[in-house]
Amino acid sequence: MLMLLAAAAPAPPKWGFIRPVDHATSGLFVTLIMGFLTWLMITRARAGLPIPAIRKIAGLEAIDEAVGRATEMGRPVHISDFDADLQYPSTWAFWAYLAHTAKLCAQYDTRIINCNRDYLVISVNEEIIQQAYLEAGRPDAFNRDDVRFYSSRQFAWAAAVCGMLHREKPAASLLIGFFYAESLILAEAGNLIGAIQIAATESTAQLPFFVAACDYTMIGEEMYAGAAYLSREPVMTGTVVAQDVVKMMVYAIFVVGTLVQTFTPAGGKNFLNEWLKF
Amino acid sequence: MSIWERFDRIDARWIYLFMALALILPVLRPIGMPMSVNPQLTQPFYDWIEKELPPNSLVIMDAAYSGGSAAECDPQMAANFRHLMKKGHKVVLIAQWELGARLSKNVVDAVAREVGAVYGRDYVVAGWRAGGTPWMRSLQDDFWAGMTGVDIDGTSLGEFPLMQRLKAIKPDQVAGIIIYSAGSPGISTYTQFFPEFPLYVGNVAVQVPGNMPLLQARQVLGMLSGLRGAAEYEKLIGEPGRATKLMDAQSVAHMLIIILIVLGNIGYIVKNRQKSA
Amino acid sequence: MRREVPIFIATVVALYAFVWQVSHHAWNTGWLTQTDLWRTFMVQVAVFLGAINLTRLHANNIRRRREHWIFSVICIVVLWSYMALGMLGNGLFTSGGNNLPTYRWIHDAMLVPIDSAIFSLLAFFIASAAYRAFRVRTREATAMLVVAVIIMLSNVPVGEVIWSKFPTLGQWILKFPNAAGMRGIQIGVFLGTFAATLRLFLGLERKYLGA
Repeated sequence: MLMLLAAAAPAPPKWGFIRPVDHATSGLFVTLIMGFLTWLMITRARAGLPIPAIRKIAGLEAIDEAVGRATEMGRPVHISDFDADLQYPSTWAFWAYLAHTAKLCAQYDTRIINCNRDYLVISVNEEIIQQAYLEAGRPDAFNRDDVRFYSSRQFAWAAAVCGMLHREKPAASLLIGFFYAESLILAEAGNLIGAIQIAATESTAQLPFFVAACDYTMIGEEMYAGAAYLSREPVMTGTVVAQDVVKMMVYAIFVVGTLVQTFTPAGGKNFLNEWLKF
Repeated sequence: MSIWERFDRIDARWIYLFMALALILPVLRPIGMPMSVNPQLTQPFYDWIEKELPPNSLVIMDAAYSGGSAAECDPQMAANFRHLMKKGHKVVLIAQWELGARLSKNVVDAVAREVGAVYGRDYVVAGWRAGGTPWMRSLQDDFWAGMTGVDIDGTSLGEFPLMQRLKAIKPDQVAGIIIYSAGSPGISTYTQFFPEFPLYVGNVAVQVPGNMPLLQARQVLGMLSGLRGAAEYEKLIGEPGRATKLMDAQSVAHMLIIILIVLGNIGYIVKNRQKSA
Repeated sequence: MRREVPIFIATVVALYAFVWQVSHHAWNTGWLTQTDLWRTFMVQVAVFLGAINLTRLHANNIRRRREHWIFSVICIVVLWSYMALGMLGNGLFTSGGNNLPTYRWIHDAMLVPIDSAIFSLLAFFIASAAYRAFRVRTREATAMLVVAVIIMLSNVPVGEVIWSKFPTLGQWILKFPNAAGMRGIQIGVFLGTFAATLRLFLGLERKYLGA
């Protein structure tokens, strides 16, 4: 009975204030290390010290190609992020792509169509595109009607975008951000009209669909790295380098953990596992 | 152009027509193919309710899906709910997706009528509230305040005897959580904010590969994979339902896709050989 | 000031969100609940704000007779009439309007079937996309094709009829090679998200200002 009671009693908080859940404290440390490394890389970049270069991403080069092709054909460029919200990092990454694409379109005098489902994001998108036209010296070419709100409902939005793709036949379709089941509907609609399609998403469930149906797909973190890369500022790329350093550390932990687990006798404890559970 | 070369470029409209037939015909004339139960996904789910849950446990069900994914998630929820009611457990339903709230109520009400479960005593549908993750997290400390004190139809929670047992989603009041998930917000709400609870998942099939790491790490203890998962669960509880009926349609549709892939590749190879010849 | 004030607000809100996210792992989360209930209330108000914003947007479409303006009329009518039915159907300031037979009929017989119908397009699109994409072009593409066929067969009863080991093989692929790949992607995504968030904290990310 006493044993039963002991099992039912809640575990004491870690360090007196952290919830007694596996990995709660180690997760905090990963966060702090990542924060420190990012700060370090940014400081180095600001001081003009060298930081490791990041590789080119194939999908990014394709954006320039796609806009060029649309210009030659005299057809518009479509760019959208389905699950856009002011609080999502994927939306922030999308804005970098939107700014870059809008700038190219403004320079080449090509129409850019952006479809939205969030009434707050649409105003930011409008601002970004307008700014791009302003910087290109042709503010009068900016068409507010091409930044559209369709619906906040998933499939109503998807149906509206498909309709737009079939009616206006953009030569390039950029699907960047977070997507759900509508990913394949949009990619197939784009394929039917023969548009060159570039996708970037962190949504693991939708990646296979984009890989199958699009010409270029940026996978997961490539989308974020690409967003920083497009800025061409060393300070921005410094954050990507910090991210890669932490990733190497995580992979080192994987390798060491696997080796320790392999050579730990049956019933023994893997010290790394115990530490990380803290 | 030979017939083999034609397979390289079949008009998409023919594919759509074949797919429609592949889905409709088996529903009209079921074949009834045998099916095994997945020992790593479905079986642990069933064992938890059947053997591990203490008697008269309170389980939270979360309907994080909408009309599109109802074809997969509705039968999963119906099978689980039926099993829980038969074992004498209690269920409180919430919904992270607004459409899921009403859909789930329709599902459990229909099952409740069959098994004789009483609303308010055996189960309550609290429903959806706007607020996203902060709303869900607040249920951890004060369920009633988070739900503004009423259920999905606006009836005061105080009127339901079952709700006297649930003041907050805490381990001393809730034995486990089952989420029916079609996307986000979904499973991550629980792995982040409710890690103390045994978590079981009814998943749309497309999400299963992405969620396998959670199962491996035991953040999720059991999973129903799409319609197949629901059909397996129906088999385990010995009550074949809608999911079992629809499995043949899935079989034929999958076979059609495989045949199309094979034909496409034959056309592709023949065309390439002729080009190089 | 046009730039400093929004950056200041964004940084403060981002810091609050960060502290909130970390604090749910704190032992005592009672204080969080107070802010959560406020945030829940604010989101509920924002839903109403959204409805007003949407109306404004579509009213502009109608006023300027933009292309397809008639759909804007339908949107406004549906939005407000359905909301009014739910809020007032049972009488002013009484709840339970969403349980009215008409309200539920619109939900069950219109909203859900339309949602399902568009979703079901996927069955057709996945067939045409798979047919087009799965070709033995390269070694990698061939590997993807073979794995896709095994997974498809392992997920349906017909696979078991063909070969009884298909479910086991499919499960093995999902559990090991797939889970390993997914983990790699998810860790990368987490770190990418985190770096993006830090850029926001430090005021490096200013796209929301149109910069």
